[in-house]
Amino acid sequence: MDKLLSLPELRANPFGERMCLIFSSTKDGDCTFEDFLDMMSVFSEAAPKSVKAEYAFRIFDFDGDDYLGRGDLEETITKLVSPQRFSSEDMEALVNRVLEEADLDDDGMLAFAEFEHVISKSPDFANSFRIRL
Amino acid sequence: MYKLETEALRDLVKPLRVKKEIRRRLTARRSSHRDSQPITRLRGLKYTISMQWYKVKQSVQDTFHDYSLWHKELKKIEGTFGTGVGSYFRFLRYLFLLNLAIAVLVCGFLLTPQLLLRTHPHQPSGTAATPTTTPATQALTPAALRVEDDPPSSNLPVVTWASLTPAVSTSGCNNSLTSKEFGGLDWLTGAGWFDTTELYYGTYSSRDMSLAAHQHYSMPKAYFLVIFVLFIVYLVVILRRVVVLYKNNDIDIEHDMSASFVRKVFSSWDFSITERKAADIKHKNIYSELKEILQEYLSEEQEEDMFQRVKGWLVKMVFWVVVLAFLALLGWATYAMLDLDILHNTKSSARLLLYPLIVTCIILVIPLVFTQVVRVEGYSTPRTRLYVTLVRTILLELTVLGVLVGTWYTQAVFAPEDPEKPEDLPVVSPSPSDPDGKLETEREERDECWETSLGQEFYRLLIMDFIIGLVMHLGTFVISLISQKTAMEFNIGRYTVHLIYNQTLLWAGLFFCPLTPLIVVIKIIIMFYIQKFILLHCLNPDDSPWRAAQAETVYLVLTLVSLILSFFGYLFILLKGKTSCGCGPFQGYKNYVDFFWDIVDRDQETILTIVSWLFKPGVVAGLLMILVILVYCAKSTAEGRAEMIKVLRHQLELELRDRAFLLKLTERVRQGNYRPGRPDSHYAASPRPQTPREPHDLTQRSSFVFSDSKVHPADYSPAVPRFSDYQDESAKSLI
Repeated sequence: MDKLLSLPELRANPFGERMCLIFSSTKDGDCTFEDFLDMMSVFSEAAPKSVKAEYAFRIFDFDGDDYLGRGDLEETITKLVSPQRFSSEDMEALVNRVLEEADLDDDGMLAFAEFEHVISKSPDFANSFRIRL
Repeated sequence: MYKLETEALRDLVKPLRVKKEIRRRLTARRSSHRDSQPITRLRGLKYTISMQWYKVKQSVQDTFHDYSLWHKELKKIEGTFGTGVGSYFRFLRYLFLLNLAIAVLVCGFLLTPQLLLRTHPHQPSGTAATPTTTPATQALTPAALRVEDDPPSSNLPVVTWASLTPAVSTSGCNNSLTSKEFGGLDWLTGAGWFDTTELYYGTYSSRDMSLAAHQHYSMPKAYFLVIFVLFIVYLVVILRRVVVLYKNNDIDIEHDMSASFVRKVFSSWDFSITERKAADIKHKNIYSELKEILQEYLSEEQEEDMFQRVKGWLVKMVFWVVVLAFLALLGWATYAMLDLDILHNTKSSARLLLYPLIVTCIILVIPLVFTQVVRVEGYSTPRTRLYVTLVRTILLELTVLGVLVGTWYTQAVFAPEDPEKPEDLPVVSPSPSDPDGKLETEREERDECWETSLGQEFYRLLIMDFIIGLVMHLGTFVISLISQKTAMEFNIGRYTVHLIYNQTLLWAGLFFCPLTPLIVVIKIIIMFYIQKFILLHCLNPDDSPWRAAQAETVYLVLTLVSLILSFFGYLFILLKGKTSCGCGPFQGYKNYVDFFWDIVDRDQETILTIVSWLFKPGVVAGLLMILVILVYCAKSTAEGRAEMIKVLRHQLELELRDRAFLLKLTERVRQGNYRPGRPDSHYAASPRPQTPREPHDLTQRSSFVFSDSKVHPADYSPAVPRFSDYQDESAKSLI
């Protein structure tokens, strides 16, 4: 995995580790060529939004339980703003806001349907979730 | 069929190995299926052709992708600065390629025949009859021209440069095409030696040339058609791109302004960043953005009372009035300056350069003023501020260019009415009703080629813009060398508007100076490398966040608007304008319109009937009605769909609540809490451990929520038949 993370596409990416883990077929972060091909094809321009949303969900799902719970959201936000840190009240307010906006059935977690629903409407998503080789 | 399956396969979310397996099974099934039912030869041929065509298309696309221009440079820029700046450079590349194609067309169809004409050796019988020569006594009417058919079988001698006799009686037209010396500042002014080169409209001949026996290349027709077709090509290409971008980026954005937090969290990281430094800056950006919107939300902005809102509106209105008045003043000032220039018939190069210099400085400096002004006005979001600045800058450019073209056009239209009787002019001039009388007497002394002069103005504007741009970039470079602290930012809005200004100059000047695409192409190449150098070495990534996707659409729409306006300007000039009688492909015709009647009459009378029928008021009104109805239908469909979206969203909420309820129910069943006898209760008795996602199990979407740790999908299917069955069906339909 270290070799992968030294590639220019992944070295500055806070989600680089997650990406390697998701796409690796052996689940330990090492990718075969086919896994790498998978990863690049999902991040390419021609990949449809549904595929991108699917893999984005998996990347943000840090504990792997198919839900984006509070822990996942906190982890995502932390990774996004490191080395800065939010205070715990701010973090909680942020997570509450996110859940308020996206969680439609009020179970405190984001299911894939809710995630896809809110993310595929955003035009920035397709633009930012893209690696041009 | 083939394409549908490929797309369905592509959309399936499985690792590559799995997809290969599916495809193998698909082709196996297809080939076995084919054995059982022999298809006719014709159908087999059709299938083969369509598959081959698809493969060819794919390989061509791949090749284009491999050889895309400036790929390495763009990747470096994007890696360091993010997608926003990258989109500006991509727009630059797009315009470059478009203009290059256009320049090639212009060179091929207009430049080459003209050069051939020029270099062909002089024929002894230079005054032999050419198709457009009329006897001096005949008035120039379409009927008269019809008499002069192409002489049937003669080898038309190619008319040379020297024997260029205008068709109208020659007394009124100075032949302004004498070659001039190459002066010092001629590169800048475009006058002098350049006057008689192919750079300008004036030097294109109005003859029909014969390139081979019985083949005629009519220069006027070619000129007109090429320009017209080029505009249509530009229009179609840009329109198509605008529609594609709009579909991808802007649909439904108005209806969904609420989920800003979620969007910021999930889609703000730019995955194309590759440098550590840029990543740090991006982290900081996201932090400040999140903090800002959190503050906004937590502080719970009060509803502005009426007084404050009215005050806000008043302030904005005042600023708009000031800006518009300023623009009007500017327009009047440029008109006065131009008038002075034309009035005094300036020939000295330095004096000629003054107007373009001032205009270019205005165009480059005033937008900076606008950006500062708009900060004071108190618009709510940065995006609104950007749009307001953009609109004002575009208004500024249109004012300046409009005044330029308008002034020259009025000069042309108020030309002497009777070119055959120049001796009447001194009599005409003292009449007080003619405001341009004084000008006319002086006008006959000048080269009577207003198109060339206007083309020269455009050339000067382009070159001056280029030079001042270079100076500004040099200034940036020097400043960044001197002090490391004042590192400037790459303001995408300003640069893009500048690019659109260049493109507008190209379109506005295309008729008068056919080589503008070539000039702009060269300019873009040089600008690309210079800006890239400045960007990578002197500037820092922009601190303010950038919504690249929507901005891209807006810029393209602005380009489209400029194009349409120039097109209408041309139509207006063509319909009303008078040609100059000494130069250009349309010399010999008093008005441009006469050229149309000439073509129409010469070719077919039915076209005239059709055209005159088409322009009848009834027909035009009918067409307009149909268009209005279509627009109304489209708008109501869009509104209906928006309603539908609301309804479906509500349904989604309800379904998710259903799911939650049923999940809890199943949980209770599993724990044995559920009492009433349901036929499927015995399924719940055997809780299965979570099976790891098995890649070879092709019938379930492994990431969907039903395969969570609490419930095994097989338990679930009878209780909620819709969801998982739907999933199974969609996957099974592929096998």
